[in-house]
Amino acid sequence: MVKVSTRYKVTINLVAWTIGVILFIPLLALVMASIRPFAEIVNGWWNFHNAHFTLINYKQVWDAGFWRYILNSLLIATFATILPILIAGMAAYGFTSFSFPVKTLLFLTLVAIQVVPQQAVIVPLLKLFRDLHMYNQYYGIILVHSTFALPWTIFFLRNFFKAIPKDYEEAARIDGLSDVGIYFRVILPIALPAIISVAVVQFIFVWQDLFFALTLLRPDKWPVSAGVTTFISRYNPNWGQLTAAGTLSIIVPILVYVLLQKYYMKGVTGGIKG
Amino acid sequence: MGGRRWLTKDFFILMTPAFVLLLIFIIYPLLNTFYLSFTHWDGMTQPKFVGISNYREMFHDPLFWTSVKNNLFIFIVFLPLVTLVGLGFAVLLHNKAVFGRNVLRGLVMLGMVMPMTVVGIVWMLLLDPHAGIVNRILEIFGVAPRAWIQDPSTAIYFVILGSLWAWQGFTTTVFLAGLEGLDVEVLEAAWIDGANAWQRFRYVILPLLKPALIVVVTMSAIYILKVFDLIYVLSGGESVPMYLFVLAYMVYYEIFYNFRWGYAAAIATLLTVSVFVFSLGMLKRMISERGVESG
Repeated sequence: MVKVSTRYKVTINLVAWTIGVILFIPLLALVMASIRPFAEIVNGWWNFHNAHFTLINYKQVWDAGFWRYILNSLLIATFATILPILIAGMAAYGFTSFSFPVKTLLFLTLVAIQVVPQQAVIVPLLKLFRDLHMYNQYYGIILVHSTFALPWTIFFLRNFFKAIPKDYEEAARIDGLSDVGIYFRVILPIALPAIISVAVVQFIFVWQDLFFALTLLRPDKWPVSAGVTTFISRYNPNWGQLTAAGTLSIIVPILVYVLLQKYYMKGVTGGIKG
Repeated sequence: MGGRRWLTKDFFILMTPAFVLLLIFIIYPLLNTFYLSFTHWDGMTQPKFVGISNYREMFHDPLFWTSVKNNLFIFIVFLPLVTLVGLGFAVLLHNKAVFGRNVLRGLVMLGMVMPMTVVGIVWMLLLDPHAGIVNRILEIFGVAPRAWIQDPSTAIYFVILGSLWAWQGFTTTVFLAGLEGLDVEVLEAAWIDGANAWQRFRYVILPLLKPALIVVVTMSAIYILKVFDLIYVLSGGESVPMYLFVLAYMVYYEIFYNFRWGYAAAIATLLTVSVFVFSLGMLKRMISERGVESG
């Protein structure tokens, strides 16, 4: 309904795309530095005078055992995504379909512990992990990540479940399904979009985590977020290896994000429209 | 809804796993941390109750004050910056005159989906005195190259820049979702009433964005209070230089370098309390909006 002038259009596009380029430079720097020999990087990865391209940095990083960190990340992030969704979905369904005495209290508890920082639990957790022999075990950190995902995941799914018409449930109940049966056979399939959103956000979040990885695992079980730091040296950075390791660390989350962008955005913004 | 018999086997099958996990891995350790903050403990022997000794010690600990000072400085610079940048980008990316908005929205989120340690590596490279592009660009404007990260007086800006690049994706996206949820009719009414662009933004759009603003400010405050990864990457395998300490790193340091677990618990408690204080507004809103009774 409003006519915009050409000059306005050009200006606003110029501003928007300049910002876009600036936001892209860090990623470009990472990838460019990783595919060039060290001697060229110190003269600037943007300098194309006499440019050579090589995969030697990747080979060195890979041979130094970086593939291990990637496997660790895949393992931890995958299980720490599936497990909390199963458990949170069940609890969210319990919340939507039952009334019970301490419901308000449980609800308030969930709201409050959403913001508990990892540092708030780490001291007793280290003792617990030692006593239960969970230190440096994959399942230990998977259980902790899963638990930290529960509060917001329960909320997110509860909001979605609430919007599902009761008729579906009633029909299934008449057909003789139990509550657990209804959850798995009726609710879960309908809620698939919400579940994908939660999964993408949680997978990427676990992939990024450093604090629990550092504190609950030894270096051989570290995910990429921690593994990549083993290539850092304060005074003589080997940019080639460092950026190759960094690039290898982001391939999976970027791929997940690009493929499932719509779901990721919904998951990230889920907190404001509920 | 509701009102169904809840003392059933199915009810407990559905609810038990979640709350058992929450009890073991969050609620119990959280309360235990609070108790341990009143003890001296090396993590091996029995914790010894010492009253508020740890808290008293904080006040005389220069490392603690350095951390608080750094946390505060980063917080005060980062919070308004990331909010305004997010709002600005969102308004820009919401404008239909901009081409390729989906691509730009994707670019905004790049830093948000990679580990903060990699973000750290990227910004170490960008700010490097020799191989960094930031110095080359500043040179054009007549600013002499410097070792931003190695210089104690500027190293903190590395943390702010890295956090900003990574987190503006979140604030932009939340504001964008807020803008998309705005009632078009209200905007058109304001337009017809003759409100200019600034008036429309200030008196119509901004009040309607309040829910998004609360989420942005709260989540950004929590995010930056907990800043750890960008400090850790600067350690290069050793401990971080003292002038770069923040509270979250100090918890880690006291556990693994000094073996003072009671003291670490006290600092963790302080960090947790500050996070809660900044979350109160948002949490209260979540409770009143989503309703407890509605199930």
